[in-house]
Amino acid sequence: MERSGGSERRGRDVSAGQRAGADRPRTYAAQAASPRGLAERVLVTLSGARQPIVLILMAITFMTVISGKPLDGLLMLVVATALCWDAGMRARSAAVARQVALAGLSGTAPAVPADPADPPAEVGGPDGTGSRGPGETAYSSRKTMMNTRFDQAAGGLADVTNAPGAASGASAASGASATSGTSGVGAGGASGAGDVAGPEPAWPPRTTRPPVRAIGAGLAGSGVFALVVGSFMRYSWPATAGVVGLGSAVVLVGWGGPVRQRDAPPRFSRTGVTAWTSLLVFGGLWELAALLGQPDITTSSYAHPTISTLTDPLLAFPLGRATALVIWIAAGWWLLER
Amino acid sequence: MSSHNITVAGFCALALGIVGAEVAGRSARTSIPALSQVFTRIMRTRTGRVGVLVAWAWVGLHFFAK
Repeated sequence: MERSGGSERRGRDVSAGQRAGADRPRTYAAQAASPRGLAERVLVTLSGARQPIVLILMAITFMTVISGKPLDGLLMLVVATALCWDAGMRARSAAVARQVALAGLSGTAPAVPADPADPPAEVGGPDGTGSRGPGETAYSSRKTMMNTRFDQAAGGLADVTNAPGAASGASAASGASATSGTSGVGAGGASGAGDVAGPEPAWPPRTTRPPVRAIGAGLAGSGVFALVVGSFMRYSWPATAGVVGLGSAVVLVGWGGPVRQRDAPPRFSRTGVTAWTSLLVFGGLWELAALLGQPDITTSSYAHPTISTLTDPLLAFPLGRATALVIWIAAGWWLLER
Repeated sequence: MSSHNITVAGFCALALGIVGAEVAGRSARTSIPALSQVFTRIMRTRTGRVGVLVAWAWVGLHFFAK
């Protein structure tokens, strides 16, 4: 009994020691990734502002404010700032995780403990004896070890620094390392800060189309929603509640993770990026020119109609509003499926 | 040609450009990606996904909400 108890205690001590050892680099890396002071936090936030989508949200914020909707603009600004922070922190965590992994290799920082399941095999060879597998060079062996440590360090960081709901296991940075093979862009790549895959989704994404029954229910629900909300006047409280409720729900689902698993398309050519960016910029500038051509920023003009002005006749009738809502919901569904 | 027509023509040109780019993107002969590929790539990160969905929600707010 005594031996058994002692053995059990020793076993617990070893486990505790392993856990402590495992937690040490996570704590070290998390502390290194956490910004200190206001200036550093501002820098992290600004580094996330390089994301194109954040810039687009900022442009929407600007247009909204000058259109006479400062509260909507403030809401957009808050979201854009939160996304800046999120992107900046994830890029920073990935960078620190890589530094931790490299420092662990050179022995200048706490090494990230390998998985007890197969530590020697990762370092040496598949048999765990330090020998290399057939065709495996010293470089590939070292690279495997570095990637393993990097993923483990990043996994620890994701647990600590990412948003609630992020499950342990796969991580921001390990996701980046996983996707970099197909997308050609990884952490710290040319795409800028925050170009790191998000944390583990809150649910397993589907790999196929949704079931027919779900599609039917979605179509029926969308139709009812559009008819009910479209029956109310624009800018009324019931219409506001309906649109805000659905919009918030969809954004929350998007925050939780993708609902459908898709392969990341390869990196786009310069021609492709230029084509779509040109259209986006042209559309924004044309709308801005029309907006500034109005007699007053809040008064529509026949001579310089904006998109809102052009769609006013359609949205003046319940059926037109319902049609527009169906298109809006369909677009949201299509985006969620990306 | 009035300024109204010029403005509307600009929006029509924009719509045609989007349709043209999409058609070109779906044909394998050009290097222009289809719109679905563009959004799939943008939305592979949480920042991109949430940002795009917020922009979509904003459209609904802009046209219908107070």
